[in-house]
Amino acid sequence: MKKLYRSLSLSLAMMLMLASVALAQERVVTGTITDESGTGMPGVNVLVKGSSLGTATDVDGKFRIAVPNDGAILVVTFVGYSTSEVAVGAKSVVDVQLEPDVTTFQEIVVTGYTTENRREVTGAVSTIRPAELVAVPSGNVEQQLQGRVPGVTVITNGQPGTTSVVRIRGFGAFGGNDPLIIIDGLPVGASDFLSPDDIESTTVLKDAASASIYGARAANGVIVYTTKRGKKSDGKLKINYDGVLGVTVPGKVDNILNPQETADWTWQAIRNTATQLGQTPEFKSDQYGNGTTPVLPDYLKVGDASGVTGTLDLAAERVKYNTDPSKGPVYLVIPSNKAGTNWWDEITRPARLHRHNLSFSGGGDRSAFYVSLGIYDQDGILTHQNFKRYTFRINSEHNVLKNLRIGQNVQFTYLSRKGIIGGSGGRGAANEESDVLSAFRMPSIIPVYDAFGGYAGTIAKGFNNPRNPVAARDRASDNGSYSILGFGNIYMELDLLKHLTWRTSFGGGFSNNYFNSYNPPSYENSENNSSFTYSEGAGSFATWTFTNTAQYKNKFGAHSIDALVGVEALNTGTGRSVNGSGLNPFLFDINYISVTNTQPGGRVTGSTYSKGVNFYSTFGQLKYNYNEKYMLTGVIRRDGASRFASRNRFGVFPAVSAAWRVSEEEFLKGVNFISDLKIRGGWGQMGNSNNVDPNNQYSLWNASLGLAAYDITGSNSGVQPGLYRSRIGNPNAKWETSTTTNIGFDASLLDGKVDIAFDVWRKNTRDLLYGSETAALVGPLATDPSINIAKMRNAGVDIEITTRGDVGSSGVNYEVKATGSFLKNEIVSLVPGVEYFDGGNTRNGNVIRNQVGQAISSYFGYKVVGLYQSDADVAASPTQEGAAPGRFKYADINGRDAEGNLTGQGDGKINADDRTYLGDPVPDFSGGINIKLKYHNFELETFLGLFLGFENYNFSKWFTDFYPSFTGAAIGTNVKDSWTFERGGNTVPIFENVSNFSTNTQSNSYYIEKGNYARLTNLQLAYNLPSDMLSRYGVTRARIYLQATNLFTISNYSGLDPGVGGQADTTLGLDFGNPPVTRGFNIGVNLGL
Amino acid sequence: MKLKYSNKKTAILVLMAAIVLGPIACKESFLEVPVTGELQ
Repeated sequence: MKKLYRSLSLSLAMMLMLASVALAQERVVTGTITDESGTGMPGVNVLVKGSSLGTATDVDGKFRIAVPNDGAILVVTFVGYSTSEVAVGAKSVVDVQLEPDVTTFQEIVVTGYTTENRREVTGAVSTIRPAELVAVPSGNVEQQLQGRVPGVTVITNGQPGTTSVVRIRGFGAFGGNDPLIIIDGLPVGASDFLSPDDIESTTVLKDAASASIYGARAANGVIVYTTKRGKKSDGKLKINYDGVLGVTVPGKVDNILNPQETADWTWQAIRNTATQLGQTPEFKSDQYGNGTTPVLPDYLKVGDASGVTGTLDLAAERVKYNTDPSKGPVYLVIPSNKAGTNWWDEITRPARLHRHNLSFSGGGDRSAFYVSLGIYDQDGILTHQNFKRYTFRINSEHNVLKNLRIGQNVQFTYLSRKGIIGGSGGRGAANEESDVLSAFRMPSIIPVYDAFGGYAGTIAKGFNNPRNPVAARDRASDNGSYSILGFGNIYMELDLLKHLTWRTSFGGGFSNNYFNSYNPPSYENSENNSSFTYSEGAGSFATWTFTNTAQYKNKFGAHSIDALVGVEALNTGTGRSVNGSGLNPFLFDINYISVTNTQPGGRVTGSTYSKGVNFYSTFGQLKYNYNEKYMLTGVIRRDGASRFASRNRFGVFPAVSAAWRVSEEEFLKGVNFISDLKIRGGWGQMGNSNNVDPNNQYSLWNASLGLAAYDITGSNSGVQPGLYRSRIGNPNAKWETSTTTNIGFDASLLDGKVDIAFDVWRKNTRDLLYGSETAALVGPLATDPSINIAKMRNAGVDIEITTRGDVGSSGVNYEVKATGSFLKNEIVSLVPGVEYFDGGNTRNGNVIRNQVGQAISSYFGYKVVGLYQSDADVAASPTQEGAAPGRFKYADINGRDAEGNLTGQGDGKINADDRTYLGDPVPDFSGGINIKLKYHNFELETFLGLFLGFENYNFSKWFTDFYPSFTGAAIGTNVKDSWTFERGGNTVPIFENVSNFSTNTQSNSYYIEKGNYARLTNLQLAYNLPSDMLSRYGVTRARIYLQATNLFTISNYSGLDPGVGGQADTTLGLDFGNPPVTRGFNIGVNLGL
Repeated sequence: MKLKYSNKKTAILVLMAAIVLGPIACKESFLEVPVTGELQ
């Protein structure tokens, strides 16, 4: 076909050239037509609009044409590319870069083990273009899926290189819901090592029809990445450089009272407390005096004295100054900062970012290669935070024989993380001891440093126990984790017969990681570390995957068959780790410290050994289509895993799907606005076993001196470690199974100007593994077994609409892509007799309840209907412990009958029965809109993410809005709106020194806030340098751009970031002041040679 | 020794058979991974 087009274009060119001879006396214009990569395109038609004048480009893409006048417009056309019209004007050289005319439904998509034309896909599959993944610099490519792929939920935070909670089509289980990530055919645990610049294709397999080829690991969806490779037809070396320099700014946060306001509201709390009790207020403070008006001290601490007013002989004080507890009592001189310390400003900074990627690719008749070097270096907005990734990738493929190809994909990576907070790669930053929350617990009157350069802090009396977060971050500045990874595969493809290809691939990865952590003693806080703790550790792990497939692909007239069978064996990771910690090294110089140099008595060592999980799988897929009109696909995979005992080791996961291209039917032929319409439907099953320990099948024993000690020798003179039961096994445990149904359509309308993909889906998960509770007498120290008992349901709608075209004859070209997904999650059943289990432990107890009939990780507590306005209001309301004017008034929604059963009706008493569901953290709707405008050499691109229908549990309010939570600690600006005896109020409760059921000890809806937000994630203005100018220097492509990321967020949420969440599926949405995603400004360049 | 084409073909088929059938033959023991760190 390509040859036909080529010869047609050449013939046309010859005819047009003959015609042009007659007009040789007209003005001559020359130029070059290039493709999207900047390579000259031969045989491209160049016509003068409205005339018969025309020519075609030569082998280098160059053309020469006579035009009648300056008003001439050149029309450039080539099969597979968008037509381009260029006004000649006074120019004598006109260069044009053509854009591929690929509509969404004509692309080639990489699915499980194969590639296929989008037209023939029968399952629910979404793709993301490589440009979208690099549009916004990020340390972990998974963050770029947020809002861009319908059906994918990403909950992340603002730390560089952080891992996110990524969920495809909801939450199938109570844990282990991470999707399977496949890179170049190999399963991996994380994608943080991958350079986004190296990615060629990204496909998200969402339903069983597309994903169950991955069987037992597909229930959470599959993300398939392939990396770039050279093209054998390229002929010449291509060099590309992509670079970004930028800065991320922390933004202004000012939600803590200044020193004078803090003192005034402290006095207000004392006044309110006394008024509630009918007493005279007794004003008293370690810092603000004891008069009826608070007085800000000049010094918060001078030696043992607190709240000192007046001047000091600093020279004399300096003699007594001591910050080293080992040299005697600590003696600090802490002046008050009457202007106020903004602790958020103190722990944050504008953070620099730079990313570079240099790649070389090319190929000849028999070989092709792609080599890239990548650097990603980003500071976090929190001080001392940095993420670095250095990558080296080499992919190549060689035709060894006519029917035999071998190739390899290999990447070596160095990762460095410093100062990242939270476990699980930063995902666990939702923590009330985090440095971020500390910044909102520290009173503003405390300065960062004392009078002589040491740290200041709550060692000054009257401020309770928050820690100086600047000091904490400074002391942790040398803590980090570092990894060296290798990852890749070698493969061989053999065309056994004309239509039969056998492929074998062996690959895997190794990782060597190391971490160290310095925890020096502190002196400036009310509660200090007295010891210096040092810990370090290292580990080494390896994984492997061995895949063999045979694929038969043939066409018999109108019938096409694509059959695949395969065998796969893999190990998820075998390795060892060692770690050690020690106390009080002789010197505190970090260059001196090792575990060996710590005190002999305090050293603790440990090690682990893991053999991972082995999988052995056989699978097959059969695709049939009749004339691309009727398509049928069947998939089956049988998986065996060492995670389960032999009786339930194997699981079989089938799927069937079909598609009907309605637009090919006669009855739709006359409907001109429909270019293509395909209706799809599928059913299938997928498995999940991530949420179960491989040892779950065994009853195990362990030795411990502390847990099971006895004198085994009977000497009665000492103890020996004894054995205790450490795990109760369940050999009957088996796969969690998700059954999905999916119905959808792909439509291309108005000659490809509008593409629509629409899916309605449901996913029922049964045999959910749930940690049962066994009677204590069975083994009080033993881990309870996971049993297959619970059920979960997810349902939703995914929509993707793309429209493209020109804005009249203005020369503006546009593409708008909108995605949206609706999600509903529901727990269907737990263990018989168990209706719920709780999570989300806070100082108010568990605030999350996972209950049958509710969404996972739902918030649970009392619903606040208002505040008590008066004693009369209290008397007229249902009985509530601690009720008083200005305090929370809870809804009376439940009671019990004579038999003790819940009635669902209020009973005049507020008690635990009145707790209810207050919201959940999973957005009902996630979506985004990507707009690209192109005008001549300029491009403008934006991406706006939209997330609706979810709530956050803003627990940081517990610390800042209630006086007794931490008496003397920072007070939030919310209290300015609090209820007072003078003016009343109905939102923020009275600020008083009382802690009870009606104030701050219960989970209630005061902490719940709508999280709805829209965020302009990307705004980018780019300029492509004219190719006639570049060609003089041998440059094929040069593009520079300015970018703003996360320029604004529209939300009513009062916390730092409405989009941040917790670590685990059952504790999502808990906000303790998690690291926010903030604004950034970048400048970038793309160069091609 | 220079392999003849038919020998190459045979070698490839034997290699294929070994690669595909090998894991099948040892799959039972392959799926028995010993417990680490605790006593069974």
